[in-house]
Amino acid sequence: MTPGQLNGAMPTGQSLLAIRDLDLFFDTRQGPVQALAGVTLDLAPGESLGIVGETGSGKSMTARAVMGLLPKSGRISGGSIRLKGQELTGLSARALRAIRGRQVAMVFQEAKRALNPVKTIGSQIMEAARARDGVTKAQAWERCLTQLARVGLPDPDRVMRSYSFELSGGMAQRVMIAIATVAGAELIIADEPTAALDVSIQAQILDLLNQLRSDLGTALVMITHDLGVAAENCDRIAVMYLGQIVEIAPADRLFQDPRHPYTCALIAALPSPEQRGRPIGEVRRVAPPPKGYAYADRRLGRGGVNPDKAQMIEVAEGHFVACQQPLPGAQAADGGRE
Amino acid sequence: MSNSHSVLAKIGKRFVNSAFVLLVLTVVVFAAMRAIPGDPVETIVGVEAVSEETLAALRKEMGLDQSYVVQYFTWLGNLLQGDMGQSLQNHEPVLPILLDRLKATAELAFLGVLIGAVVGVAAGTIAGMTRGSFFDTLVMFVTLSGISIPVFWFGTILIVVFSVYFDIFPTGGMISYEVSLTHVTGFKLLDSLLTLNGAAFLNVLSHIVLPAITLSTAPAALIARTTRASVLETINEDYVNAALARGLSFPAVVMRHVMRNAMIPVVTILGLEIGVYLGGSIVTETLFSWPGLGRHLMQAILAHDYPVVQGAIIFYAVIIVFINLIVDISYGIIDPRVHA
Repeated sequence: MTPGQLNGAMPTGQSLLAIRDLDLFFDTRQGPVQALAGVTLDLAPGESLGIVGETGSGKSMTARAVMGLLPKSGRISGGSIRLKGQELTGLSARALRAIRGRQVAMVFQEAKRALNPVKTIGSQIMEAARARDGVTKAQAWERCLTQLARVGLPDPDRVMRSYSFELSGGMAQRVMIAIATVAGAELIIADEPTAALDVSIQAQILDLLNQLRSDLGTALVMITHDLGVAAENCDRIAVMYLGQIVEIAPADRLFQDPRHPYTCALIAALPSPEQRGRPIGEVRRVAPPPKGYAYADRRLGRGGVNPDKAQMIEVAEGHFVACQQPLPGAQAADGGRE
Repeated sequence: MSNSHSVLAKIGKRFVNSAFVLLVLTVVVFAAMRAIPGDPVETIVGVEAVSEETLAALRKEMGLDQSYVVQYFTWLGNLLQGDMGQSLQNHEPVLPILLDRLKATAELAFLGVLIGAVVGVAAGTIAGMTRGSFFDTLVMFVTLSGISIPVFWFGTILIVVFSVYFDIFPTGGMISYEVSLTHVTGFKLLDSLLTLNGAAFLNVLSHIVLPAITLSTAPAALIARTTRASVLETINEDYVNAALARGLSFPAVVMRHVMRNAMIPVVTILGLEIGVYLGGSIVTETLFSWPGLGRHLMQAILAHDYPVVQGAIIFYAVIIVFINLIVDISYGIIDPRVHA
């Protein structure tokens, strides 16, 4: 592995999803605004990756880029997204449709808003079920019932005939998960799947996602602003800030040995009785694109602006950090670099 | 879950409300007619020199010598029994004539609503889907013009251009004298279709095209703008992205998920526009000599023909109330949350 080039990547052969140096711009009246800068990550089949970061850090845009569901003004200006080796950027609408639902599916933040209020649950889950090749209507219907039962909804027949306004938030999210998994997708992208739910329901939904992942072997990308949720449910965690991945590491390692000052700040800001209410600094305006050491204007205990784009450095096995001067950690890991 | 009992209860309640609205309207119409300056008897008699005794005799015959209160309740009592009285001008019973005229208006209005709804919804949907495009800009400009242009002016321009200058369509009327048509239902387009009378169908069609376009322009423009705004709002909903995320094509998502939700405000506008259609039909029918309710009402107002005017306005009111009832019921069909 060559640090600085693979940027936290594993050989493409093993990965289900491989994103390389993804740059995304939005065309605005004030000119282009960079939303993603050199995002690189990999996901193995069946693996779960948490993407954490604050609002505007680019985590949702990364997910939408994979789905090919970017807003109209969004434009991928560089890099690649490969799913099982197939390049997704620049794919035609028809080719993208063949991938959506069948290979990659999405679970949305507010399930009730992601369900059409004037159509039955049945008609919506059937749309997903029938996306699968060579499925008759009756087979698809059976599959929907099975999947609704699998996500823990009692009386699937009744759910099929219901409308979203007749379901609770937790039930609606279970329905969304059933829709995401009914066509046999190998990758589920969950964008803040529990943010709109009560804490007790959150745990149930996260358990369900984990259960399905182990039952079906589905890989999961979980986007969350909650580091705790990511830590408990994901194998690896990527921390995003201002459109870049600043650190990516196995979940436990990230907590034991965070190297990036922003990660340290995030972990330090985790709610605990004595630290309640302490700010980590304000979100910088997205425009203009960040140059170099974008964290200098936050009081994180470090200074010095480097005009160059940050590089990813492997500080330990599978632990990459984007910074000119990573926080000093285990010397052995640093010594292992070229 | 929708509950048929509560739906019926709601509709029943609406009926009671509607009846009350109509009752209030009878007072307003009756009072308004008496408030207009002019005397129906003198209008009928005209310029002839007639003695006061003759005038008084005529008034007595028409029941106009009685107090307004008595006149009102006599009229209301007869109305409730389905008797709208006789025309002061020619003593013909009002109801059968109005029903006959209503058919011509209904044909015109039906075509006008059809053009307005189809053109408006289609243009609005495409404009909303292609926001900022040339087509969108064009639709926004044309619809603004459509809303702003007065009906009488637009109709006149159409007559001048297409009837007088290019001589493509007749200037007015409903059917040419030389064309024969067997009476079946009284709806001329329908009758010509039922009797397989192609010549009559084309003749009526050529007469109806310009007034139908005149009538539908302003509502079509408003419907297009409402549809566009509604589509724009709906297209950003999460469930649209969610439907795309499960592999549906964009046109399929628009048809299945956007349209039905976007139609909820459009149906409201369409219901409200029925009043505009009927109002517009009075001007349009007068302009194109269309033998409908509107033109008949116009003539009756000028002649101070109280029973005809009162009857025609009651007709309009019943139509508007009835159509709004249908609109209300259709919400429940479009949006299941209404009955929740």
